[in-house]
Amino acid sequence: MISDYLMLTGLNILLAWSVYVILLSGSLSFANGGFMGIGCYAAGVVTVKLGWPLLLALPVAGLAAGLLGAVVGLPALRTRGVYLILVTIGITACVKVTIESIPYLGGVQGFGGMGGSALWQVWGLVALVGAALFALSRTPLQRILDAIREDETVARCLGANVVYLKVAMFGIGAALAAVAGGLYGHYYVFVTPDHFNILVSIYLVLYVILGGVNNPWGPALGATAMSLLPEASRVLQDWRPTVFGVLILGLLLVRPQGLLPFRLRTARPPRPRP
Amino acid sequence: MSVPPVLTLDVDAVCKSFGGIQALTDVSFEVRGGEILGLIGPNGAGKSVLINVVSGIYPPDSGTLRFRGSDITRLSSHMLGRLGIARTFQNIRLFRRMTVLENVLVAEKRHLLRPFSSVLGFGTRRAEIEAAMAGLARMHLADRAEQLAGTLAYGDARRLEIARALAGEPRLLFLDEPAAGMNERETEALKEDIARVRGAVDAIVIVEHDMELLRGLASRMVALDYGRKIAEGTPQEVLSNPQVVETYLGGARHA
Repeated sequence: MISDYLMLTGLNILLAWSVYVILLSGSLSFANGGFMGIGCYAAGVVTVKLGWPLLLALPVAGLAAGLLGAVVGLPALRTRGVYLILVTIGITACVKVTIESIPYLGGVQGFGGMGGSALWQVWGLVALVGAALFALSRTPLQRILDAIREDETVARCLGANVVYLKVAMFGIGAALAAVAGGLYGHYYVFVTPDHFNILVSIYLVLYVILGGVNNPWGPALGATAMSLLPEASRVLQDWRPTVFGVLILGLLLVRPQGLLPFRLRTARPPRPRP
Repeated sequence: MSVPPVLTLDVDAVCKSFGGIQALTDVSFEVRGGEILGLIGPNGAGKSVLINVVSGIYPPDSGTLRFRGSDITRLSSHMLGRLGIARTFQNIRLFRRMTVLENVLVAEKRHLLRPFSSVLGFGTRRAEIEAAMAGLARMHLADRAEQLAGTLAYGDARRLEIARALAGEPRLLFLDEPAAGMNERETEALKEDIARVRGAVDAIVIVEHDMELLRGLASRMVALDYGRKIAEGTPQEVLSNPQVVETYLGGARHA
């Protein structure tokens, strides 16, 4: 039981980070539920149909979704704001419908037979990705991404290849979502395309917005809170979704910047030499 | 030292229209090494459009742009930035939620060229920070380094934009109405700042419709009106050109 919560929380943290990574370059992605689905099915095919071990299947899933994300991202990221949101929602919808129509993947009936993902794998990856994101937040790359998020035109005039960076971050985010999706499928053993509907994508974005978009801890906290709160509030029974919705609205009113809004500085003036 | 007047930027017969509006018609002029060129004209003359064309934000409909001898007409803005064309914006555009120091450090070319390699080196090198601090000191902003750019006073914000544009060590610097909204005293101070940094770049182009800043600073001028060049030459020549006097300085245009 406890391990179920730990598993869910770890996976949601990874998925929230996959949205955060893309948001670093200024794009809000509702496609990550779709990338998660691609990763889940890709890893499932590799282990169930080809018989490879899970730890080899995960990089395959990540690579496949990362490349697909970059290819899809190249045209999609030409759009901005509301249009980009619509395009990414469309990606999630396409993934679901496409999987549903492939008999090899079980269609709407679903796909099963996976297994073997363990807590240490999920939390090991959480530690690894967390460390990488924390290290990133001190680097010049973070600074360039922040500049793109603040004012794309100015960043471009300074010499930043904005398209390249946006596509690359989109691909990396897609790969991370896919690896988390692979772990998800191999934990729940059986999945259907409906596990990766648009609502999942919306939740992942919500974790990030609620937690805070300016540092890696925000999305992790948002994902943790949103994973554990629904379970903690089980006593509310039928009123659960209502109370939960009101809570989210209240939080957005009181702390629109998210729970942890601070931003880490990428450089400080040197201290005078002694 | 005397710098030979080599050609820095060559703008040749550039046209640009937006829908039915002809913003630039056959505009040609050159920017020579070592000079400060004043680009003048009334509001709506096409000055800002011209800057946006030269910095790659709008591609021209026709015409040619050459920078230090090579054709840059079809290059995108990030390539122009890398080649050494820097600019500021009429409505100050800073990275407001980043510190003053970070604003300048973004322009560091080494990282812009290879952004992902910068992750392996982790932090910013001390030498880079020291160079950025020197750039800030040149604009009297060193003691504001840790402040968020969004909290700067107006004059400081203008100066930070110039410091950021210079941080990438450009060859050619475009300033888009740098004295807009400044009083006489602030304009004088800005004039000194610009004079001080002129040696850091090959040439500076200042777009202004306020003559106060250009007086004594610009070595040549180009005047635009309704998207056409109406005069070019020394400040005396341009300012005494009857067409310039009529359409611009006299302000006697009938509505």
